[in-house]
Amino acid sequence: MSGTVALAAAVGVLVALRPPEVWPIAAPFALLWALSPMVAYWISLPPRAAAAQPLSAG
Amino acid sequence: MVEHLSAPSGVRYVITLDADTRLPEGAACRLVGTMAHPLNRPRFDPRLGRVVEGYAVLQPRVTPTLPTDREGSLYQRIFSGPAGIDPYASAVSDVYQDLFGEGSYIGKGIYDVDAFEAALAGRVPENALLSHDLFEGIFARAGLVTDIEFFEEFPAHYEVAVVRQHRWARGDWQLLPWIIGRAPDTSGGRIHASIPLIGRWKMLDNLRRTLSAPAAFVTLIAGWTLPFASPVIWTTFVLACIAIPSLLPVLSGLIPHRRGISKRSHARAVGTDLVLAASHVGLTVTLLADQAWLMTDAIVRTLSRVYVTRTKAPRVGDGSAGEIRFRPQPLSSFIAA
Repeated sequence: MSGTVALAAAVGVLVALRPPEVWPIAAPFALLWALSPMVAYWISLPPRAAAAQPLSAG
Repeated sequence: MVEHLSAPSGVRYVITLDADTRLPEGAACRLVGTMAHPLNRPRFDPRLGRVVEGYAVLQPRVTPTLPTDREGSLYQRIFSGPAGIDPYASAVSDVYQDLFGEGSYIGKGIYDVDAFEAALAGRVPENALLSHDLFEGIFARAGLVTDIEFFEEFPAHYEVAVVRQHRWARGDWQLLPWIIGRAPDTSGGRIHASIPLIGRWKMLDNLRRTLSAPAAFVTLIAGWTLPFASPVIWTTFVLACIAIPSLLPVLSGLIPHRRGISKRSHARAVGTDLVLAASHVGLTVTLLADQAWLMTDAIVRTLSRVYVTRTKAPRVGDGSAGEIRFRPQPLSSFIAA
């Protein structure tokens, strides 16, 4: 997904060149896309084994 | 792979499955029964070279198995099946089957060996197509059987799903020569393939689907950067296009399906649906850039292969886990009838 991060960076640069009133609309998208590899990793994880309580000695 | 494998004599139907397709008890018998019904028997037209009546292929409904709490990743839970609680809501009716009397073959089903082979004889040069199920279904005439159901696991990992999507997109674009009617046959000559209009439309619709993520992405960028465009309007427009299909099922779920459901339980069900739909929208937006990149990559690769370098062998795999999940058409089970 390195292509996606590069794409997000390019979008960031492109938007930064525009007048500031575009920033609040476009910046959240660029940020989301830059973080999307992490999001993709996170949503693909198997559910936490938290529900499986370790057997206690008691 | 399987091309040199010929079916044993006396075999009339073949059921094709993927390694992970689950066949419920009795489904095979019911498929054979549906196939053998006098009204469904295929009639092959030698002049057109395809099945013109009845069906040589039947495609049962394929439903993703419900992820269990212990196994399913968040991705699987949000993206498998339509947003909403009823996994069957979108699969009982199919526009193509309802309006044109033929469905789309998606690689898992049953086919009549003789009619199928007759309809596809000499159609495609070796190794020209990566994904041939839709193509086969068009010539052999595929029927959608919604009351027989196969189950299949939806990938739990995004990267695995991505490999699959990329391969499907490449397969869809390899059909472009057939859509525009300038495809080579096995002898290497170019013939005007007699593809019915609805078949071309189905193939074209697949191309449309691969273009939607890149188009949404480009629309957003254009809306933000072009001097005369209004960023608010275009952003709202793209977001609405993404959100409406996910949110509609929630609306239909607002009315309780039957009496006797307590208000609290109904509210909870609607709430769950709403959270699921909202996560679906949120993730679709987040993954939009990646999807746009992925699809563009698949399209450019395929077009350069088909039209520029003219290499025949498709790029089958990157060897990742998703690779095994492709629809190869293994002759998993023979049913002699």
